Amino acid sequence: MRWLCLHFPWLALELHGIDNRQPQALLDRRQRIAQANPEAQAQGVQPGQALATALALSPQLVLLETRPQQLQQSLEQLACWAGSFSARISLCPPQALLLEIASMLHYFGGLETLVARLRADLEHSGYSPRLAVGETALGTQLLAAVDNCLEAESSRWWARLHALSIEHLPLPTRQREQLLGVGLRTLGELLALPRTELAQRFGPALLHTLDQIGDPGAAPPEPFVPPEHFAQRFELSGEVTQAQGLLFPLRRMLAALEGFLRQRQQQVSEIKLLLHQREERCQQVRIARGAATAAADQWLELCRLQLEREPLQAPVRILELCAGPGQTQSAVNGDLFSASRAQDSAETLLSRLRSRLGEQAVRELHWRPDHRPERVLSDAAEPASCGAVPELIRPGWLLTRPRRLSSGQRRQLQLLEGPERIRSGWWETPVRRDYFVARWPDGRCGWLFRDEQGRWFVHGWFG
Amino acid sequence: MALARLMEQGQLWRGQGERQIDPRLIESSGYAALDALLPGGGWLRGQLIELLYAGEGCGELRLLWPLLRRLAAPGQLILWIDPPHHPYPLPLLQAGIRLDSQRIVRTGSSRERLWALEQALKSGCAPLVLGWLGAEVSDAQLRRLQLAAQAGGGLGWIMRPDPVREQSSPLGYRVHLAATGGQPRLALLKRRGGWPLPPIPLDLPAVI
Repeated sequence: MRWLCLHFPWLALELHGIDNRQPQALLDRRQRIAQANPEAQAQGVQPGQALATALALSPQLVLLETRPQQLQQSLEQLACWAGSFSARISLCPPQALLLEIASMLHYFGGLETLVARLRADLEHSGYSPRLAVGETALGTQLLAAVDNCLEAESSRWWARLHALSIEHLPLPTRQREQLLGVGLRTLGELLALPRTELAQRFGPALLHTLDQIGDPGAAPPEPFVPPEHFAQRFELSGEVTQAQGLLFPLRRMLAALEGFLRQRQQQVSEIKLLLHQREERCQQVRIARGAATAAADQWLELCRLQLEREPLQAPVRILELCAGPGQTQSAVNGDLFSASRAQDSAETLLSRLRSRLGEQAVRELHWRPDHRPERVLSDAAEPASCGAVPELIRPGWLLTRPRRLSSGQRRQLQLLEGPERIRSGWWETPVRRDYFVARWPDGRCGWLFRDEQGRWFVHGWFG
Repeated sequence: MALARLMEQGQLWRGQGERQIDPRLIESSGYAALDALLPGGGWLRGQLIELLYAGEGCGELRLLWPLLRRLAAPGQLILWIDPPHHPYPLPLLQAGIRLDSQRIVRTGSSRERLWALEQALKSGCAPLVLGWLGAEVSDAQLRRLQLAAQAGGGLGWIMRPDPVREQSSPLGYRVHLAATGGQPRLALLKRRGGWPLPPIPLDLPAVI
């Protein structure tokens, strides 16, 4: 097995989704700085400082509090997202993920491509991780906690691992101090000692840890099992009044949805956004798509269009995303040799138009064999029968409502054809009309009728 | 080499002499008299055609029937964006045009109309996009649509009212249609790779 560890040193800050060019710091329970991002550190903010000192050094400092539960949630979100890259993912709380990649390297065309894709994806979502690859799960995890380590060659990787300082080993503090007291500095020096002696002096637990770090055959960590149904919740760090402000957390959620679906080879055709507001109010936004997809960027675009059309009713505090039932992905993608320049499928285009303009904005054209012209306008879902096409003279354009013609206008027209009598169904308001084709003085052709009272109306144009 | 390619794609026009445009980029108009006037023998794909007419009823739909018949293939979309009236399905069927490809799009404002047109043109999955715009469209907006059509490679028809002919056009083709005396006449006010031409009579399908 080959492991890749993603370590998120700034996860507790980054999960809030605030622009990381701003100085940010995390507060602990005693109102002291627990963590400061590089921007804040550049201004002199250090972990352990009192709040007042930090604010004096950096007046624009954004102060954040993160509950362990939030940390766990965003780690699980990232684990869902990583489903696009690996079938076996383990959580390493509080802030790392372990991916098994041996089976995926071929698919992604080598380690470099995979790492570049991971990095690009995470950067796009506002995360800055440290990456390490390696041959043992725990060893990779320890290396990632310290620095990036992308050694492809085995001997150099082991050298890196052996150079790891004792301070970074997952041991009880007292034991670590004991080892340092003896004069040991690196893992390599520790591993060089006889095992029986180590067990005698430091107990079998130390040997167990060392085996985990150095033995490629050690039991792999428990894999992460994603939930049966995809639903995610994100507490916004402040109240959001503009739909624009929801897009960034939404992007992360949709990326997680994509990974979740890809791992199961599924797609969805509907997602639902729940925008929780004050006083238990909740605005629901349903986003449907003609053809199912897993692609996050396509869903994000539809969300953006829909949110532009449906304004927020009130400031939003919590964002929730639920996905409809997943459908098994059928035939994958299009024709490799097709000459068409198509960038979108027809369904993508129609979904986009419907999201922005409304469900009713895009209509199909049906013919039903009914002699009443107005029936063409109704959109009732009737079985469209495809019988013989009648040889009637009908105009290309039908006016939504017939337009009255004055008698003066009527006299200028030259009747070419008619009359054709059309009676409405007896179960409706009885209407009897005589239809004519006529030419207007400027040469245009129209479809007009005379009703029972002898009034003239235009009802269509021969376009 | 680059010059030759540009000429082949119809992007470059030499004032005299015969040019060869790649026939795969040409979409026949369906009317021999019109094709004879269009360089390459038809409309160049990825272009917008501006159709000006004084009012519905002068043959503007019958002019499009050959294109509609050919391009409405299964899996393809023909979009009608904000047509002035409702298209009557029966004459389309009588002309042998498939209805299942046709979609009528209704927008609420001119901004949305332009947006929908741009999306449809650049998507590349709608070989024919018909849009009805008013007089109040700026050159910059039209040019933007033209770029979208080039990206998508489809054919876009922009219908606009008659008086617009006094303004200049940034689009590749400008066509004027009138039915004076019952005979539809078409004038190529602007065409790619050629001079403007006086009106010619056109054999559109008869009304009756």
